[in-house]
Amino acid sequence: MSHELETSAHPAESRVGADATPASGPLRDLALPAGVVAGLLLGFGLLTLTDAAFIDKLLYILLLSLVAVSVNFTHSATGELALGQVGVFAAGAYGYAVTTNHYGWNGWLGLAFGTVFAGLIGIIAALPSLRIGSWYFALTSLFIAVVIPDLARQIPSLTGGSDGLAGIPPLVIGSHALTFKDVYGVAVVLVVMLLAALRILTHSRYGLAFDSLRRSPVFATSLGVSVVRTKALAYGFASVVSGLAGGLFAAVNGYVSPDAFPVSLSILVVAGAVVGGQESVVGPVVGVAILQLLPDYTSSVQRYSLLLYGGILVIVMLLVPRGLVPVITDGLRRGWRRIGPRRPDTPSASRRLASSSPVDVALPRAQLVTDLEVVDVAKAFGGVQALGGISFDAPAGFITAVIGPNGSGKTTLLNLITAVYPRDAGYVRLGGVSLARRRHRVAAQGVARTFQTPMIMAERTVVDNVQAGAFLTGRATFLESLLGVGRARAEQRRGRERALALLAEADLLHIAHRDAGEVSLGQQRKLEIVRSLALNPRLLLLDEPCAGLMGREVEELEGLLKRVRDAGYSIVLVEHNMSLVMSLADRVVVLDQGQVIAVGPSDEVQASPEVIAAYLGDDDGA
Amino acid sequence: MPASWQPYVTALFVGMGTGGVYALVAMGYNLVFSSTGVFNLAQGDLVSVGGFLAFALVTSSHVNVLLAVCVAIAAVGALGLIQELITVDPYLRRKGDGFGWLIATLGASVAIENGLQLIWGSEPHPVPPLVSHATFYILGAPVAASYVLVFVIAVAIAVGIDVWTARTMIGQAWRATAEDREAAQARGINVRAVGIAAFVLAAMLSGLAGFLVAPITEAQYNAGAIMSLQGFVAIAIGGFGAQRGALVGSLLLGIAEAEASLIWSPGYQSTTALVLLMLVLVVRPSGLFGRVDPRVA
Amino acid sequence: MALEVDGACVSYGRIQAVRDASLGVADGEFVCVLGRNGAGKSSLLRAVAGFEPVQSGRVLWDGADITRVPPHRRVGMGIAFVMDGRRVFRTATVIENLRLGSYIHRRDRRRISTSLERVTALFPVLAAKSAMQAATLSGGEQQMLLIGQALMAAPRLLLLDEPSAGLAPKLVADLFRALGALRVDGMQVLIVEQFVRQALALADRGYVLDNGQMVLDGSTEELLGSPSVADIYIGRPTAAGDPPPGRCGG
Repeated sequence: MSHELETSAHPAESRVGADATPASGPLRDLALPAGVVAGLLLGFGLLTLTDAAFIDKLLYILLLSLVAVSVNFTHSATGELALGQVGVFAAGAYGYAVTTNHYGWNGWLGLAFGTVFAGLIGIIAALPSLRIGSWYFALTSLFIAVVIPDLARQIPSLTGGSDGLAGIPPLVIGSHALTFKDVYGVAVVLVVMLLAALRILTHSRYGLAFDSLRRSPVFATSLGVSVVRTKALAYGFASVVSGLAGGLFAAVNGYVSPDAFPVSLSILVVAGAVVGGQESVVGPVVGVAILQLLPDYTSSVQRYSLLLYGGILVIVMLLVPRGLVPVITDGLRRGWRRIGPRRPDTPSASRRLASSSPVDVALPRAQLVTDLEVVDVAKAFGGVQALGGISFDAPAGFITAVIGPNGSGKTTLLNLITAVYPRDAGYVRLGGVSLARRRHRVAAQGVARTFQTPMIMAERTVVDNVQAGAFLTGRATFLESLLGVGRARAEQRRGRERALALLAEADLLHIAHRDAGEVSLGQQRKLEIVRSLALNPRLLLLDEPCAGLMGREVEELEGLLKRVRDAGYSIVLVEHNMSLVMSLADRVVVLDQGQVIAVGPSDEVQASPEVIAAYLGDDDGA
Repeated sequence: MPASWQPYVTALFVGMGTGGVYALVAMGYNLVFSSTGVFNLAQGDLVSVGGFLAFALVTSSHVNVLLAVCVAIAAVGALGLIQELITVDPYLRRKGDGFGWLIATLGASVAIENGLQLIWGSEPHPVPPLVSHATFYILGAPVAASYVLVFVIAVAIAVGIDVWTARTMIGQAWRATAEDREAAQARGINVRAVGIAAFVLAAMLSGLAGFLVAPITEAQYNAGAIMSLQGFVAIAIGGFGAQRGALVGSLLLGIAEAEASLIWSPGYQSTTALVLLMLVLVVRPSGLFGRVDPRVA
Repeated sequence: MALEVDGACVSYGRIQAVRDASLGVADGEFVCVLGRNGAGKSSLLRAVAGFEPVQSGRVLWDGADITRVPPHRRVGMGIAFVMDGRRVFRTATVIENLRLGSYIHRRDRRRISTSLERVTALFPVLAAKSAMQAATLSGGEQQMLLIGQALMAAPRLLLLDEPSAGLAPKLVADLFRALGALRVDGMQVLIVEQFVRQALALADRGYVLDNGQMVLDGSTEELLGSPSVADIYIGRPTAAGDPPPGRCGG
């Protein structure tokens, strides 16, 4: 009997199997460990089966792959192309070389130093990204990769100058010096573990934070994600990886010189990431491998290799811009869906929820109910006064609508409250406390917002998008999230359950595992509201939540908002649609040309002649 | 003038000469960037092609210099047209994120470099001075004729472009496209044609630059990448989208590099460039004369 | 009908801005498209000008299908578009801006001077400030410059996207006076506006767009007399009821 109770209002749709990919399910849970085992088997298998010369080549490929993966990682974490990671690689190599050769340090200490040194260089080199846009930063970064070896040329006393440093001592365990085969083994483990960790990271709150940053910095800060700290984390981690690869490179080669890091190496690394596929974690490894091995096997003339790189770059960008690995895995996935067994749509957690009495799954009550006060807020843009000293209150636990014709300053108001740009005058208080001046802190103070065009991460599932809203509630550190242990795992599981419960309340459970980019506009707008609730907000700011919706979708959204209000949340919404406002809002504030022209209950305001005149335009001008 | 100042003065004029080369590259970048928003990473390699053509035509085949320079300009212009159609145009038509052209032009850069290497080998090819072997004495300091020539031509072209954009309708159409692409389209301007023409003109300027700089730097297959990056730094200093900025930024860069070479050592050129770039980023990210805010990118 | 739009659908990603909209402008007509903010008026106009791709439906000009014609070529066909956003060429002077307006006729000096005379007669301030940089002009003057620019191409059809947006009431009055003069000249105009009464005062016919769909159309008298227009703007349920949903293929 209990199985028939579905929280979904569309029982037929909840049976859709082929489209939805469950986040957990027996097959998915095994995928990662299986991948790790396969990777290790492949790596060590090659070690025993192939000759020394090939192992040497593979080692170089693995080390470069680490750099390519770090470029890819920063791109997916920030949306920027750090083309200069090879410079960080070089810094790691020189760090190891100089400390062990020049100062006689122990190899492992030298490696540690090289890694940390490279990490710092990487973060410093990434600082410009806070000031400049993406392609400008990409080129600056590439330039830095050119400058670092050039600098090494200039300090021969330390770095051996153009001749480089020879006779670099290898890493030693006890009395055994690690040979290149040993280091190869280390590299295999490193690469496989790194890829696994990155995969684990995507489902953690940091993975969601990175994706949100890539989507848009304004979006990320609305979730409480700090742009500076997140970038520092991403670049720091990526540079530590590249630096470690560089240190190993120096240790196994015994020799380091500026000529080992030409511009073409940077290009190779980027090309590898692009050809392999930037969406995929494994892509860069495949890409670098192809680009390094291909010239050896296509023609006997290796000198065509650069021509080949160039040609491949141009052709791949034109024809297969997503890269090879994503295209192949997509093809495989489609093939599997056609021949594989049907999987149930809703995962076990939500099935448990569904089987319990659905009406008990209510929205969590708002925790702190507080008033919003806007006092004398003003903002001018280049001589045009967008808002001229407006004041109003949005009392706790009610829905207050801000309406007005085009150009009246509504969205500007929302942006001022959430500190997207600074106020010229006036202040905004929530529960008596002034709102912060930095966007991510405003979110931490309990202000959640939605956007005029839904800001969602299209390639992530609906439930992931909701969990992103809960970023601030997590406590697990980056490292714990990378390893997927203890606190991180527990938080991730709890967060998921909570997200699914919220989705159930909004009647969106049946699409929980669809890609957010595929669902309808109405569902996306509801998703944004559910995501806002995941923040545990004190105030929800909604920017035209019904724009573009028709008929029944508007009714459903209205119903959801009423339930949210009844659970005790304060809502301020900006709207054009007067009929919606009349049925939904408790109070209405009317703006026109940057001034408040009416405040009060909705039916009064709607009948006011000034309001009507403002909307339709005055006769008197003609 | 005290004799001890002489090397610095020479370096100043040498810097103005190399600055002139950078200016030809930077003006090319500027033309392309302002009308399409794209930054051609292969621009420096187009310069190299010009240099090799100087070597091949003048040094090897003893073709008349004036004829050779015309051939070089035309050839590199044609190469530019092909490059635009393959590595830029397809991405301008796609709406979407902006990295396709970055990677594609990077690929073109690599391909051209390797092509040059295949044809002419890895060794640098010296090219004797094209116009005269004379040495000018400016303020008492010796300056090779080649440097003076490059500087003069760069300034002449900068002025020429300024006049052309201000006086001719087509020049104005280019300026309009650079300022507001959609508004230009609404006035009947074919912005795609403007973009292609800008690219070809930029390629021609690069071919000319390569031809003129070959006696100074020798023709080398892999010099292009560095040249592209230095041109980038020049225009970053001078300001994106600013014609005047391209000239001023390039001269500043050339002079700074030349003096740094003298004061410390030639190896510090790229470091000097980076320091200048960082300075600009901190103080004025849009560059000295720039109007386009790279933060918006 | 000189201009015909037949079942146009315009979407931005997920958002269907225009659903199955149709309209027409006959020779010499002044037609306005009304509707509240976000109704899809701008998108529709941009589609007529060629700046938005049309997913389904057609745009016809003198009977020929121009749906796929790029915007810069439509100018040569006699359609001039004044966008919203006050997009003058800021660093150029007023006269340079106007000359750019006649770019397609740049080789025909006589035509350019005729157009210039006409424009300066309509907007004398442009002649007075002809050597000044466009950026130094006031908002209202810039709007006049934009309309003048469009007229320099000697178009048959003028498309105007909310020319009164952001202007002070007195300037709005001046603007509509100038538009009135154009109407007397017999120019075909398709104007998108928020200010209902002033636009209807000039127009022959009007269409009302709501949520991307054409919900009402008729002559000026009919629209002025209808209470539904006010309802649509304010969002009250109208007596006319909801229209059938538009179809958009693909």
